[in-house]
Amino acid sequence: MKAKIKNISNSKIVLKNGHLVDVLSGKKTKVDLLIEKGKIEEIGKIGKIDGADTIDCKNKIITQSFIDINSSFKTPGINDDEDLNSGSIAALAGGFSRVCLTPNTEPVIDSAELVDYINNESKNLPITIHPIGALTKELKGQDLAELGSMYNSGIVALSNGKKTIMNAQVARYAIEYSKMFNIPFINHPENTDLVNTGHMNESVTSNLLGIAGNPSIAESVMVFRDLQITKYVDGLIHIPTVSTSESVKIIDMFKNDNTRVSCEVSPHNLFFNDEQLIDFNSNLKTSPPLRSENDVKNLFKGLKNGTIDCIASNHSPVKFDDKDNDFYNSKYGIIGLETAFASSHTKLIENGFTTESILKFFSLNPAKIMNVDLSSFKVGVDAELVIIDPTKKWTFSSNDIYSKSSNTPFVGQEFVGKVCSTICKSNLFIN
Amino acid sequence: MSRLSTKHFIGLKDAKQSDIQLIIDTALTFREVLERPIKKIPSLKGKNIVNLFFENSTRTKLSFELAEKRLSADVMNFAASSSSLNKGESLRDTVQNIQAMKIDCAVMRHPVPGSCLKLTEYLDCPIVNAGDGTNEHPTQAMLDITSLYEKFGKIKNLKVSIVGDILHSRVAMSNILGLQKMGAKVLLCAPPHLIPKFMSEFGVKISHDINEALEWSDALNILRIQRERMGIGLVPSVKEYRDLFGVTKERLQRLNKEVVIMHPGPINRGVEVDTYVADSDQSVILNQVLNGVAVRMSILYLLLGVANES
Repeated sequence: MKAKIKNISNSKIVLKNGHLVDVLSGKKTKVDLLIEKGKIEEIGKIGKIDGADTIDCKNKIITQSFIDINSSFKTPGINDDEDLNSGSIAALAGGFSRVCLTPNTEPVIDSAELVDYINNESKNLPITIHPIGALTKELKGQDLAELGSMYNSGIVALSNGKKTIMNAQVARYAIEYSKMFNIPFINHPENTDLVNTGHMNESVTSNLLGIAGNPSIAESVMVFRDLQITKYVDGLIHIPTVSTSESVKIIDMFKNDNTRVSCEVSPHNLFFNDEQLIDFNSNLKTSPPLRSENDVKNLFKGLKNGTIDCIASNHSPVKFDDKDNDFYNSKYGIIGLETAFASSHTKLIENGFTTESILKFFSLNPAKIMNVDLSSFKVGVDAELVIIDPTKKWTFSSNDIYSKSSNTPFVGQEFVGKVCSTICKSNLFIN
Repeated sequence: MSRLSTKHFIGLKDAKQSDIQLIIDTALTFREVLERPIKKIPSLKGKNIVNLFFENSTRTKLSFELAEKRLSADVMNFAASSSSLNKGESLRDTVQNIQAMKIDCAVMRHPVPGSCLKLTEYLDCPIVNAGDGTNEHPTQAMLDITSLYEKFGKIKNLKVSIVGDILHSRVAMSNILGLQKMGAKVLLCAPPHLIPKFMSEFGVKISHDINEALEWSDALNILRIQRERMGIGLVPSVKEYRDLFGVTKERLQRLNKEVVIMHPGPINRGVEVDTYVADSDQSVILNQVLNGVAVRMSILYLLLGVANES
């Protein structure tokens, strides 16, 4: 294992000369931090301390570590793609100390017992896992799963994984029923009738390649339906992996109409567009598909004006043999935890965002959506933070992959901004 | 003797105009060979060609096999039933054996777009695309273009309409790209939902009126309307399709010019085209079949022939 995790429960570490950005208060200060036994012991000007390790944080940002709200660790059942441990290390490498796991596992996480299983298996992981429960039994889209029992076992949201609930009445019941727990309803926004046999965005490129197109309306039609239902029953909805201009427009409309809605975008939908599929690269095959350049522009606009609340990795590991096939028979998915921040930061900076304004997409806003407490930087709290070099230029290589799977189109891509270290649960991860 | 500028013949998307012209010229030379009493030449003697057919095909497979035999190549046929693909057998699995047999060229038909390009990752030898899903069917397009060239003596400024189910066609895109590269103008004629959205961005004219298409065209390439698509919401009935888009004797007789009729086969007589039209002097359909052999000989020769030995 190449992971560079150090247990710091008996160490003293001084973070020297960093720019502390507290996303809760919005304050930016230049300070030193002393971390002792995994807790913040001192904030301010810190002199030499015997036996302490020093991490030079000059020109670096220290901030709350990230929360990913859309990852799949394929455990239980499909752990040759990923397991809880490998996924956790990938998360740390990307600056994430908390990950919300989708229930698309085998068996599906659709009962309290299975939520308990995930919680038990996660106790000793270097990060914190927040399970998301299945909306319907076995994700079949028909009968509601034991939402209340799973809530009592600690799920933070309800989702049907990548399987859309097509039956609008089932969706209505699910949104209404989950109001009792005040956790978000998450439905993969894709009308499968309109997706038809589509494997990539319907576009000039899909015509050129002869690949059956998945039209943008397949997404926006479903986004509109779910928002109509949510508004009608006064529910709470989170829309995952928004990828089209129309979806952004519709979500904006409902936000202005006081519907309780949040949404996320995936890093690869910001970084790539569908024209890059010209070589049939199956590592770019993902759900939702990569969209047009115009869609990408509108996703940036959505982040800028607050319509899109956060960026979530959509981490979907697929082992080599399941990707190494012809385009139709290779599986969907891109791993995203290691690259989520760096790739998004690179593109957002190009589009006029500041690093400080990007941080909330990874910590503050996802924490709000999943109702997870984010702690301020104060003496006595557990150190749960990330150290970022916002100007570091680097090229992502296969050596930077910690996931069990390596299905990523980012290898060889140049990034600006790098997660240098992540500290959480008395662990120090150094990139 | 010249040669193609590429190692493989995967599609017309990236093909050079000079390569297309070279294939036409060479094919027309082979046409003469095919008219001789003894139609076999030794150009590819000792070369091993494997035909990998992952999807049913009668015409294309026969045509390739004949072309290979006319050039004296040794031919192996591999026909994977569609069920073996359904069993989860990957492309890599299937071709690994073949790689080990030291073949000189692979011809592949596969249901999935892009699979020929994928095959180049697995095999070292030249690869000829015999149709990869709805991506390209470049040898069909080349035989269509060669037939037009033979008939008109040029391609530049020809007006060619492609009529029928463009959406599910493996032939349409290669034809559009090839014809445009050679300077022809292209019109697509079909019901709107059988033409992919965004098609107008390829610089083609689009019409939903067969009479308008006939009026405009020098040549018509009529695609088969697949009976299995009838009655599932795509085409309401055979009768309605013929009424709206059928190339009938009456429609042709209304014109004061002779439009050349092409069809890649197999023909639904009395649906997309009437027997009278298909068998008339205006039709080059049977010529297309013979040119199919010549074009495939041409491509194989230009990829594998003596000219490439050095």
